[in-house]
Amino acid sequence: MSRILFKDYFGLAICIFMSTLLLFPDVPIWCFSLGILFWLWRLFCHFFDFTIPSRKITGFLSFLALAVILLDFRTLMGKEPAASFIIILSGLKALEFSDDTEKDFLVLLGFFLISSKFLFSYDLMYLILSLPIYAILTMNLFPHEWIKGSRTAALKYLGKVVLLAVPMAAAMFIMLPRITKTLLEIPTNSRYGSSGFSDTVSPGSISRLSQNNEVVMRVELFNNRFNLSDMYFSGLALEKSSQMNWTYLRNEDGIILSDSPSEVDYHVVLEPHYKNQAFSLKGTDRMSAEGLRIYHDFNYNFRFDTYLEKKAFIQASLAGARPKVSDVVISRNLTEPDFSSLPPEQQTQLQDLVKKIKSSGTSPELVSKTILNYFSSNRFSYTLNPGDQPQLSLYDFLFKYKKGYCEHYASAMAQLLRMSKIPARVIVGYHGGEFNPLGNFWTVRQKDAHAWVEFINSQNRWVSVDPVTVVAPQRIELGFNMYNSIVNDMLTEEEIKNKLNGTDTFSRLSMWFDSVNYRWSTFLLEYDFDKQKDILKRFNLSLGNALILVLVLLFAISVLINLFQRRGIKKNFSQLCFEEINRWATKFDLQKKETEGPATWQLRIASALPDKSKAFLPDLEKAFSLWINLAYKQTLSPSDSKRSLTEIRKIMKRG
Amino acid sequence: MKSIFQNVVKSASEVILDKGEETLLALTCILSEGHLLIEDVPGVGKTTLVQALAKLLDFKFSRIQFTNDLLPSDIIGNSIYDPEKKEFKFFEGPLFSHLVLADELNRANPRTQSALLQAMEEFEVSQDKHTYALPKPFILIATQNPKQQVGTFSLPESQLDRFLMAFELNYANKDSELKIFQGSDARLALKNLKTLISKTEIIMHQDGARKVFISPLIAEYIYELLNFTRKNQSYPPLSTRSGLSLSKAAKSYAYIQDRDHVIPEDVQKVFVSVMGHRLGLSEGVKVGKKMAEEILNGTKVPV
Repeated sequence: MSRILFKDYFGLAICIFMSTLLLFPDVPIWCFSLGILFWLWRLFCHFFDFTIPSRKITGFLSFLALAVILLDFRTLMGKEPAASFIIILSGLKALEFSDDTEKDFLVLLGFFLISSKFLFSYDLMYLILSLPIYAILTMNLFPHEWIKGSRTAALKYLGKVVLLAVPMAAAMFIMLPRITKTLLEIPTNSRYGSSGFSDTVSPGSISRLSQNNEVVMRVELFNNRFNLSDMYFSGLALEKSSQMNWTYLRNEDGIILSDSPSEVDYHVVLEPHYKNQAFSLKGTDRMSAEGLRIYHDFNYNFRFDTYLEKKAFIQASLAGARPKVSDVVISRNLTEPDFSSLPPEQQTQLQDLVKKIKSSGTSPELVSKTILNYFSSNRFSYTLNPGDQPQLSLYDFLFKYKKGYCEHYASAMAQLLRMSKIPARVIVGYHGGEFNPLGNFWTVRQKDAHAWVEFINSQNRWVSVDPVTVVAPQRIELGFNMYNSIVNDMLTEEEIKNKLNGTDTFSRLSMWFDSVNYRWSTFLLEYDFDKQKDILKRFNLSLGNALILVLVLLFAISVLINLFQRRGIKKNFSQLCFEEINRWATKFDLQKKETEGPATWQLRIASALPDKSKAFLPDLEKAFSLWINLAYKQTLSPSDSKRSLTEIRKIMKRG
Repeated sequence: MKSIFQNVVKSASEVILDKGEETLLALTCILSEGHLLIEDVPGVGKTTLVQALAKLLDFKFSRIQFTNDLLPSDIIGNSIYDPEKKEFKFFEGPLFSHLVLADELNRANPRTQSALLQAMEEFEVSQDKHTYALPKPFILIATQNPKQQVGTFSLPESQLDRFLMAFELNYANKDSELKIFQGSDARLALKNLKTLISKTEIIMHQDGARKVFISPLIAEYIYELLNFTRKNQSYPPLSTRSGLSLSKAAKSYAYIQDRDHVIPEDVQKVFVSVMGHRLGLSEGVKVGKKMAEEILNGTKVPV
């Protein structure tokens, strides 16, 4: 009994275990460990021939798990609690598995497990990992008399299923209406991703990301070719300052829903993240995404109305020139920094610096130029490892350390601009990324996080300026990745050249995979409601008609399958009945001989049964007659067959 | 078992001892409207068994002793000119009975043997452009001597195939044989037998046997049994007709057992007698019987 799972259903067991492993990142660690614990328990029973726990125990454990999940999440809706529950449930099912008839339930659980991962991830990686699992699960669904233990027969049927399923799935993908809302719109404390910025940026908060390799988004640009130095994706505009710390000022001025772009200049496939920022290229005027609402304010800072639970496919267009800035915004960005709390000598030193800056001219353009000059001529240096110093003061940075990461320079420059009475702010976002020549898109990662400055120029428009361009021009020209490897790994010129050309086979391979993956997810995401309508129009179908067609097709297929299976089901039941009786007979070493008929077998059992079990004979006779009727009499309906099976099961349990 | 058939077997056993199983098989054959071949040495009770059955079932019985100079017209009948009516009149031969015992069939020459073919297959005979239907039911029970006996013509394959079943009678066991030696004359006992089933009842039972259900599993079992000989070079391959005969016989056997469906045991019970002569062919039933048992032991019963 305790060996049946890993002996007879090894493939199935491995499959379900693998799908459990795939769900690891999505569930709390305690749920995962509990699930694994049940598997280990089962393994222990297998090797030491230990009795597997009864259904009462496992049933109790599953209720307990349900209660704890409810306590932990306070809901059962949503991806995480569901995934946690399924993991624990499948562990328990594997633990109590003792009977061939439970196989179907285990297979169903396996489908749930693997689908719950797959439905939320458009990643090709999961698709590839799930395919063999789906295949084995499907093969386990085939009735025994179809395959009779032959692997080639199973593969043949699997081929048939795939042949049927692929066009069906394609038809449903094309025809069934998109659900523009997320299915389960319940906010959960998610582990969806770590991209996006918090409302406050202080020295160290961006440089901390420089080791984070997580992909934030992939961007494909059309129409105009961009240089790496133009690739600034702004996330948040920080307008409230105190020394080197900048904070996002929550204001609802002129927040409006963005229009859909009439002509798409670039699109972004944004990975899920736990903030609502939509990163946009400088000069973006419109952004839209299927199923999501994107808002922007006067200044064209884009954001979603909700957390991003799934990948988003964003289409955006660029405007020719940025709009003029309103007076409200100007006044908001003119708050001069207050240094009254500083020691007097520091105050004077700072004021001297501002005077010096203003001496060469007071127009915003000139002031910004002077500040950049100041950075470049006073031995300011760029470092990738500035250390965490959230309390670093402006004075210390300008006169003492003179080195830092982008956020130091951006904060300092914006402060200097404000001290010179020029409205300025710090923008955090991403700069650059890795260009994938095979897929013609940019991959932007967390380590590409960047901060820069925007000020209002003499024409009352926002202009951005990046102080890093003067401190470490290579950082902007080559991008973070390349700059990092030049500085850290001390590459020779040859190696740099190789790296720029991307001749490394491994990196090429990974680029290739990334590009295939990207195409796949854009293919899935791009096919939205409008595209669907277009395709249907081409076939002269209205959406309603298409839906009816699909439903009729589904109904027809299910009827066909039902007809096709009727014979199979009956046979299957008689076989199950036989196995039930045979399992019982094994206890007395009286299992059916292969060349023996049922009646002969029954007689043999009746004569060889030990005396103390003789009382069971009338019951046994009933079981036999039920089985023989099912196998050899006129075809019974599936429900009658099932009734016979349960009856036999009841009888055999008594024996 | 249906009580009526139980009675038949019981009554027959008063006349011919220790042959219950064979009587049952003969009944099965009759219910399937099939013909029976009994192979054995003379003097083991072949004729007595057939006579007893004829008496019990109220069948018009005739016996044809086959010899090597027997002609077809001797068994079918003759057309003789009737001078008064100025036409030929057909006089029915011994074949026009319900139960015909063709004794020592393999002593007859092939020409006469072949004359039986039409009667066995189509239940009618032809004489000079006319076709005459045989009475219903018509069952031919032939006996043949084992091949080794002198002066025998072995039956052609096509004719062997016309027999639904064939079996040996064998000597009775010691107890029964002792009883036979002590007991009264079998001929007397035969005379005292009472008819138990009427002809119309037999036809009704034949209809009933035809309606017995064969499930897909049983059909598969029959197929597997035939397939065993087809895969295996050491057996003559069994034909589809033989499979059909097997299922017919199994149905009748199940009917006698008072069941409306066939179970694997029915197939097993009739298999050796249905297939014995088809497997043994000219080698005789004894060899075929051994082969049939090997096939049964080598084929799994599908569940």
